Amino acid sequence: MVIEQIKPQTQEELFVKLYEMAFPQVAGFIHKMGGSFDEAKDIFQDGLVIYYEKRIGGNTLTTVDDKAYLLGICRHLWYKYYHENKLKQALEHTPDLKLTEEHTPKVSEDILRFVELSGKKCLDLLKAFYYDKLNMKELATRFGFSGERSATVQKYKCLEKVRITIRDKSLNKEDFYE
Amino acid sequence: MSETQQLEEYFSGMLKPEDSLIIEARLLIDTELREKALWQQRTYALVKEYGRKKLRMEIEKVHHRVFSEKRFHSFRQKVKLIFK
Repeated sequence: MVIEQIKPQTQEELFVKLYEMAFPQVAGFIHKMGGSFDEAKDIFQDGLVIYYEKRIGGNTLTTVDDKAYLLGICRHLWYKYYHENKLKQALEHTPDLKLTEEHTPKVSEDILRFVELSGKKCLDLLKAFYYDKLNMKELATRFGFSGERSATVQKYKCLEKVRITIRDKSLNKEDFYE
Repeated sequence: MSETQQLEEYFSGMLKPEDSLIIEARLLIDTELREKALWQQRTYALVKEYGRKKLRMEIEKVHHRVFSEKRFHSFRQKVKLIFK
């Protein structure tokens, strides 16, 4: 049930709204569970990343239901973190808070930095399509292509370019993973 | 359709079953295509990493804003009370 709708002007404003709406509640919960401000911050920010990936994808619209959804994600992350942290403490490891629901192997920071330097425009275009889920029309507008067809062609060109770059850069394949 | 596009449609389940079968058979015998497929999947993983990196930067910027700008004073007070 949608109780209230908020249409922020930009994505940044959306995150500001989510901070205002949900952070105090997440912080209250984490404090109650014995966590610190820094832990609340980490959990909340990871929660926002998951929320974005699952719900938004370039569309700036949120509702009170989304607040409940975000709170649920953060609660889940806390329990996960709390259990992993306890386990790590038992093993005398430093606690680390990262998204762990990855199925794909993590790309090494070095390769990513290299591609950021050598082909940022392509990377931005691919990110806009695959991560931010813009459609071809939006992609064409944002990157100044004549139309959807031209944006599609460019997207595949970029995919090929980055694919070749990381293959060449990763001749020592073990370097590819962290 | 380029091989790159064919692979993408295969990965995302957009190919017709008969075309999927053809790609699967080719992947078994064609080492070059297999390698291409592998690097293409790694490219998607890299784009996702990049997306997350940028998103985290955006979120950190917002965190800084709400914990420093004047207009969020009452928000900060609320949070302060929790951890006092």
